[in-house]
Amino acid sequence: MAQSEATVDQRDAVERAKRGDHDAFADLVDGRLARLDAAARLILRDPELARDAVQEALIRAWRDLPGLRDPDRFEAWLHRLTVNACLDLARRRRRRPMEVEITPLDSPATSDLSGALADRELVDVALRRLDPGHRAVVALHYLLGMPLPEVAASLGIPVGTAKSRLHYALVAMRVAVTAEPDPAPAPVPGGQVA
Amino acid sequence: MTTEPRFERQLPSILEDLYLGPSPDYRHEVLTAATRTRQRPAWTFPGRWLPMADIASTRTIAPRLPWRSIGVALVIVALLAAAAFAFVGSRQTKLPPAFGVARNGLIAYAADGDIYTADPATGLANRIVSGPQVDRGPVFSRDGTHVAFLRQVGDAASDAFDLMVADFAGGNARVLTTAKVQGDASFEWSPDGSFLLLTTADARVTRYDATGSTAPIDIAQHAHVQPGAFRPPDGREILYQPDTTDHALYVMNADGSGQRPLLEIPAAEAVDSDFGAVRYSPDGTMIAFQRAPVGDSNQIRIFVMRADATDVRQLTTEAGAWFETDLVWSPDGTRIAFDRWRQDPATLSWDIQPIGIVSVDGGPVVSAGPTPVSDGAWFDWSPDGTSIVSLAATILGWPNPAVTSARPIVIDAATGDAHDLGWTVNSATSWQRLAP
Repeated sequence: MAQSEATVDQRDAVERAKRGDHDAFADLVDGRLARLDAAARLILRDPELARDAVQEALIRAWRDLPGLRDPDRFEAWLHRLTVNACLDLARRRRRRPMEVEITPLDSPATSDLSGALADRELVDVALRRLDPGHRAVVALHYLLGMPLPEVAASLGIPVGTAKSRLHYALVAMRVAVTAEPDPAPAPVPGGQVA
Repeated sequence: MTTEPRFERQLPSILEDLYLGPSPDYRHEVLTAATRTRQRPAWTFPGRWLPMADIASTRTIAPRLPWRSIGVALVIVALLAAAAFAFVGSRQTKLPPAFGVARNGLIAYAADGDIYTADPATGLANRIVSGPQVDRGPVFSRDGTHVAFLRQVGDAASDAFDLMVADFAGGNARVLTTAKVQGDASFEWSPDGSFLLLTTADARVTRYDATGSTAPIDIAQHAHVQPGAFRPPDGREILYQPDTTDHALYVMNADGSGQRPLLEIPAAEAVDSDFGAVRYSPDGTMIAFQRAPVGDSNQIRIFVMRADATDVRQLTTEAGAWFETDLVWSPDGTRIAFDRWRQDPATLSWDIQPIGIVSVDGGPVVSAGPTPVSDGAWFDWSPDGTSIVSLAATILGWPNPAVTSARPIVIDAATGDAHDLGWTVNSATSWQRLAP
């Protein structure tokens, strides 16, 4: 029941935002902004660039919202705008070194705090070695919860390519966590190391 | 086997720990910047325009009709039509079968927003659809008589498209969609060319009459229909992946009814890259697909099984760790071509390899052509099965392609020799099938 009420609320907010209601748009964005920022920082590894990407995505979202036919697709549409804004920025700023701020951990996620910290740092190192296109697949699938065929459609790549990118990224992260090797940054299918 | 899936399950929470924080402090600033922008009025999105037929049609009172005269006239017209049909039919060009080997025809592609067909033998290209609109992604019907493509509506940044169909020479272009679709929609011709299935990014499948004479019908939700989904020879069954899981294959009837699971991978064996490419063989008796070998989630290999999901066997068994995907059956059903990456055991990097070809009976994988770009190749067999047309997959990104153009090559499937066709394209290519 609560879920359907939320859906109705979202539809109503989208419809109002489409008619130019700033508050409705803010309501729509508020619950999602942290996750958009997280996805942008994962992909771009630069908080300032991430902010630029989120801003660009929100500008496009506001501008083109009247053309969104299905209010239920708002979230997926916003995710897609954000990731594509990230990839645009990554391409324009490819030569700029990027780094990301890791979110401070307020409380231990597991009983083994040191293990969790070690794991996430190793995952972060592995992600750093991937190019933005691979990180975009990881962000869309694992952080924004998008099914892989939809990830492929959002990025405009064949499903197989999306899966190969995800596989590559997963293996890199898995190896980092389980084996803790320290190979030189490996050549990455699809692009350069950021 | 168990550590990897567990890692995948934990990954969302690891990523949230790493990156997800409270709402960023720039919230007010970006919202202000966004809403300071002028919204595009709804009427500027062409998808919202009312169909002209709805506007123009008015109710009229029909006068009393002379039914007897009309009946006689209809009989005469029918007789004349039958005679004309018999005459034309006797002279009509023979059409190729929907599946199996056919003769090579033209290759269709998009360039600079127009649709071209070109002869791979002579290299001569002909622009068949032009105009101010941006057209892309042409695909020949399986009988080679028509070509379908997407047409961008609005400005260059617009993500509103129409699904279009034209004769193979570009004439009689018509819009099939009654509401605009996004550029990430994919479509697939029915075997007889009478309709197309269009799948949107949110996994809605709509059936469009190729003549545009009947209204589109939504036949399924939560389904991704991919190339090779129609079961030969008649396409009465459609293979698809539900969007609710990466680890199951379903089939449905061509009208969307009878949706049922065909194969489900047990959770303990499931890996994220299961079922990326699934295709019926040209005779409809087998299905090829990709998945991780049981107990080895580090790699993805090519598998085949009977169309009823029995007799599953791994087709590619070369030593080492491989990621194999984007598989395509040869028209005669004897071989499968696919993109593949090999993991370097020293650096653990996945290195792109030339397109692989393997016999459906197994055996060694043969490399064909040069090594594609790192994201693999977008390729298809020639209708006669002797060669493969290939180009960089990365040009297909939309709306932000990493590379916007490519030069397709033709690879001899027997020798692996390749030659540049000399065209610059902005989309995947489609090879016309002609009667043998």
